[in-house]
Amino acid sequence: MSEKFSNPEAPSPILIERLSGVVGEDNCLSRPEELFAYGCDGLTLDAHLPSAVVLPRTSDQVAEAVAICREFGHAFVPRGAGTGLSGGAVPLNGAVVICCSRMQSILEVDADNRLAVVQPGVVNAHLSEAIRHLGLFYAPDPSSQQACTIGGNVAENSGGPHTLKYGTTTNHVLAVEMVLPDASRVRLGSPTGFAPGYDLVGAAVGSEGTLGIVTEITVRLVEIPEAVETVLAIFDEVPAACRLVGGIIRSGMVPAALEVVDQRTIRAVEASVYKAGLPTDAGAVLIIELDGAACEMDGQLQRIGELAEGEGVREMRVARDAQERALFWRARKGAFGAMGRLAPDLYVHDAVVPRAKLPEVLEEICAIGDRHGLTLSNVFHAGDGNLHPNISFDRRDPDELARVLAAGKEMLELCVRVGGVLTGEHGVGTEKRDYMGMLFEPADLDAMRRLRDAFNPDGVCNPGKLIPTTRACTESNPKARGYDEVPL
Amino acid sequence: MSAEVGEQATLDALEAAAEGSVCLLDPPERVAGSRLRARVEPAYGEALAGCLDVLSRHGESVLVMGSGTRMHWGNPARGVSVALSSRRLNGITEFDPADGVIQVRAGTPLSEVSRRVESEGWLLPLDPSGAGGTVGGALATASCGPRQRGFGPVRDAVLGIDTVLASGERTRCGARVVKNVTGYDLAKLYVGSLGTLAVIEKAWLRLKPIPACVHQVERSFDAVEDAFAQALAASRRSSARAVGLVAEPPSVPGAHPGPWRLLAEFAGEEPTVRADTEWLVPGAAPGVEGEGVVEELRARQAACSEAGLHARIHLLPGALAGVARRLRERGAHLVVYPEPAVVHARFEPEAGDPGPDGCDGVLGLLEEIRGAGAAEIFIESLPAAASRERDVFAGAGCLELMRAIKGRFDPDGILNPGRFAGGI
Amino acid sequence: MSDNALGLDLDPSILDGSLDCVHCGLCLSACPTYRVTGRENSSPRGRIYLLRGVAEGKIELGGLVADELGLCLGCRACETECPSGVEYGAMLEKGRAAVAEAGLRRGWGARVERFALRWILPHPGRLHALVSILGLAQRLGLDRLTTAALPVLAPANDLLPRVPAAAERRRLPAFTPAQGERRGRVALLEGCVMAELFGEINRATVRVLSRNGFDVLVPPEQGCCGALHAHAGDPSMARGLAEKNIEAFAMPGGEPVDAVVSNSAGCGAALREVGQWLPGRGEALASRVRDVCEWLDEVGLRPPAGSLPGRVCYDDPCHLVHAQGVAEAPRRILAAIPKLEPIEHADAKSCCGAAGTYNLLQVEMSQQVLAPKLDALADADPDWIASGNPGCLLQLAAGAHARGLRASVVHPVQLLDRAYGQDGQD
Repeated sequence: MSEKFSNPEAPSPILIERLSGVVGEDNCLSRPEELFAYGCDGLTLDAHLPSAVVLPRTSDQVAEAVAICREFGHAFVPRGAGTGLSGGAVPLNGAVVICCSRMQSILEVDADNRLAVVQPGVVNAHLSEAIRHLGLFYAPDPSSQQACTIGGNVAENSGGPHTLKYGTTTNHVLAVEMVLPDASRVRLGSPTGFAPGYDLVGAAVGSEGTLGIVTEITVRLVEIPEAVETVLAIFDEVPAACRLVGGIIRSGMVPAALEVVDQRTIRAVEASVYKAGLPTDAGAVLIIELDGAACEMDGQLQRIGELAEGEGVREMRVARDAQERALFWRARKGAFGAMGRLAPDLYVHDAVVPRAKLPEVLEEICAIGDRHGLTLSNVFHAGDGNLHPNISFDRRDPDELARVLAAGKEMLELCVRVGGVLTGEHGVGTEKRDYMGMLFEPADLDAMRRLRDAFNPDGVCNPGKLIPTTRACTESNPKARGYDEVPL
Repeated sequence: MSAEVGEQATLDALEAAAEGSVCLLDPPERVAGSRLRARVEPAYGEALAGCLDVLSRHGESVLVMGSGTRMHWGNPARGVSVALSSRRLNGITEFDPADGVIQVRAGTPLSEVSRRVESEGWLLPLDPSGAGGTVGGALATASCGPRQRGFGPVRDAVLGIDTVLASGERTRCGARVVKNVTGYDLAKLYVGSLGTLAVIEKAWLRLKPIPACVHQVERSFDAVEDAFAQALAASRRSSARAVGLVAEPPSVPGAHPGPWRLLAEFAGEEPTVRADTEWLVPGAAPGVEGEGVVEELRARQAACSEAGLHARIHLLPGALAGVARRLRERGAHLVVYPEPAVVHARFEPEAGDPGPDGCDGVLGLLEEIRGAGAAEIFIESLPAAASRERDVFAGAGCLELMRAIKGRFDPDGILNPGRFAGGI
Repeated sequence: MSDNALGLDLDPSILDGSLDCVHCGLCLSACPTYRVTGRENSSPRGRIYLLRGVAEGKIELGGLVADELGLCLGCRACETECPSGVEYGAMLEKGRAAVAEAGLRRGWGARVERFALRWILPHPGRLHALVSILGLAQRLGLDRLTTAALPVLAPANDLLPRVPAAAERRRLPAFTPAQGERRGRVALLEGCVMAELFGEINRATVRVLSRNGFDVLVPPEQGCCGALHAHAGDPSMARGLAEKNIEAFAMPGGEPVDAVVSNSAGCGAALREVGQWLPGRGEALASRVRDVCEWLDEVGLRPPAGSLPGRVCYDDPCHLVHAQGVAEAPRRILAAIPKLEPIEHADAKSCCGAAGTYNLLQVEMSQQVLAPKLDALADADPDWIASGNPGCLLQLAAGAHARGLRASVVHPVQLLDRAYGQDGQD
């Protein structure tokens, strides 16, 4: 990657003036205190102050802002709601943040053809709310869906609890309009789902904002299922819950979601605004959601009940109605934030292992946490093998922070060893960039670099993310630098 | 780059890199517009890498292929006299029945994979048009048959791909897990790239459970509106796995056309399959077991003769009926999938004579359909006489970006040169 | 900038509070001002981050920080979303207090507000006199004259309802007996604005409570709840007012009451916080506070015999749904009225932009925050819009009028009261 676009300390006043000219003064932030909040996203460990923040409203404004950044030799970083967990929106080296939070129009809803065209700043949950009356919804449902934007979802290829049945963002994006790093605008893909040539949409989704800035997204909509059943399978221990997951997958049933919440998480959630009456003495709760035709619910519930008996389930609790189901899901989705109750900081890990390996991997992960004397909790998408070990800590304690990072690295090494990967839905960003060597050989990373360079040859768009800058990429994580003060 | 014939030195070096894998073709074989002098068939990954290393060092272009089932796809290759086939690169390398994932070498026949996984209660969700074929071919062409409704597109089944780049470097993307965002999703790029970016060595695939119950039904409609409304509704039933409409052109232009036949396969939990079958054809439940409906759709979809023209038109569901009617009136044999909305239109010489002139007429009509908006067209086969000067990737956008990608992955352009969109 | 004395003076609990925030961002889209500006600094997470920067001595308290704290509606919708349980409202009030103390609030509006909060609101006599003068001015058409001369007053004038006749503004009786079988005794918080501008709602509340079997006491010693003072960064005044109310509601009529009922969400939320304002002394009062709908729902509503044909949209006051966690009770109450059809509108749980004195001080933002709600209400097209807070009632009524909606804006208890048949005319 070229390092041509390393940014000067303070941006040129002319750059700011030109950017203000595009979006208006109110929407171009450049005073240090205004930039403060843009130093990081949901990953707070490694914050960097941008030179400026631009808040465009239209695709044209994005393209103009990109052109101006180029002209001044200034790198830029796209940002949505800043809920990402891998530092994808962190402006390294004072890059200009191009924040799409004001691009929040739903441009078109075509119920007959089941698609919608949205601006990137549309909040994920708002789209589903806006189309509910049509009997449709937008399927990817990351836990932050109340706040995260669809543009951000496209960048990260966000998943969510219902990935098991419905797939991730990449399975639901038909076409995008993108401002390329050279400020030109292209349309990738087609609303028909097929575009002659390479699958550029497939390449762009999950590219973490390093290939360009998505300014318009055509998504597929899905019919709201006729029936939904949500069951809590309450266990004394986590491995038993994982074994049930394996049994269900083996049985040929495809539930909409299979989520495991462990005891520590249950207790944190039950102490929060998201409390849902989960039993705080249980070792683990497996949330099973079935959806589809009403006539098949009873049969599946019964089969799952039998499988659960076989794993020694303590209790099966079926959600009585939509309200109770919503309560369960609020509890599950609020779990991450609820950890804020355990300690000032939280490191949400994200790794995937083969589903059949879940019980042994979890045991080993807990052992790693114990070995480092850390408070560890688990809440994860068991049906996908997607683990989220959460470590609660206080980053003002440098020793604890060092242990958090060391444990995190060990967990990733463990996951890779059993055939897993570094991230299932949070992305690589800055967080795992320098761990990529655990999973990939230099030639593999080089192939990724080829794709990036085809879109972003001079590295002006979101530099320093996803691909390690050097080939010696097994160095320790940059966050190990110790307590990182908020910037300024 | 040798335009005529692979030089002996190249062939020797290939033989050295992959012992026993070079097969000389005398007389030369005509495939994809090329006269092939030799076919290289490496039997393991390292040999494949060695072959590409030799080819790139010698600047020798190569026709990348699997078992050759769909070599009529794509534009004719330019300046190629050596084929690189993955046919002998076969076998299942890993199968995890507990997790429902399998790793397979590119040259493994789909039928072999299906047999293996079905013995453990799983299904290989690849359903390319036509019979036979290899896993590598199904991925490179991204070909979808009647069961796309149930299986999803090819890219959904692919978890990771090991490839060899034009330079001979072996690379890996993705993994065996079912959810993964570690790095760029290069597998998406390789799927459907017709072997122009890299050669697939092996792939991790995600399997689907064998459904508890499968039933097939058939219905006929005279009115086009009824047929399409019903087909779309059937396709949106929760257990729909394959739904297609088939129609023949009028026997004489202007004559009353025959009926639209709706063929459907429902698969899943028994009560739903029963309900959906009953919904489509009251009194028909439980329907017919077996493969007949899907076999018929698949066969019709791939029935184009050498002299015929086969266009695949991707639309929005709402535009299907109008487009299908126009094509049928113009003499097309049709297979129509309502969602994702795809029309397979086949023009044969006996009706409306597609020969060079007839071809122009049909292509003009297709161009009109594409111009009317939200339609994408791929010409699956074109009579040889017409194929030289046309791009079968009609109107592909973003060519500059695609060329940039090609340039990064295959800077000397040795992999399937000319086969892809815009002469890539 | 790095060594900021002001920052170091900040209440140390602000830094502690800010550490509860894990920066997950779930609050962003719940925040009405963020939705309008798209700027992180106008979001709860951004404001918390700013306060933390101040507490750590990295940014100055004035300027942006003061502006963004001022721009916050204090609706606390973010607290409903926050899984970490960050006490944003409390942090906001402390931040505003620091801003006020440092003399960093700017503009005429702030001065007028400070004057009104210190010298008028806490004194029922002065407030009554002022409202009387206002009523007189309205009758003489002087209000139109003053806004013509001083356009800056126009937004305030647009919001003000016609001042009710003197008869409606008389104080409530100190005691109203229960009707039917007696189920207990409750005290009612009369409120300052409620009493002056919404006397009719207060009387409806008394009738409904009595009709439900409660003796209703209105302790004459009670005073302003202090909510507006706390929000505006004047905690000492708020605490003083709270002392008075703790006294007044301890033993009205010589014995404790089952509940202290409020029909104003803002006042109710403030009374519920008295425990935090005055630890040790305030908890007893705080724990007995109930919103009127919440109380009726809790004890079991006596179903009205009369009916009220029509459609009603309930709109959640922020200080009821977010600050007190009461969302379903008012809906259940309305649903219990025969022939009344409750319809949900798309924007019920977001702030209307009234937010105490906000609509007078941040006119433009207040209107932008209100706009999507009016769109949703126009779509739903109800006969009534029901909401349980005086500021919201004023804001919604002014907005509905300006938008030309046919709905009339009422308190839920008014509809209930009508259904009980005590107020036959619509």
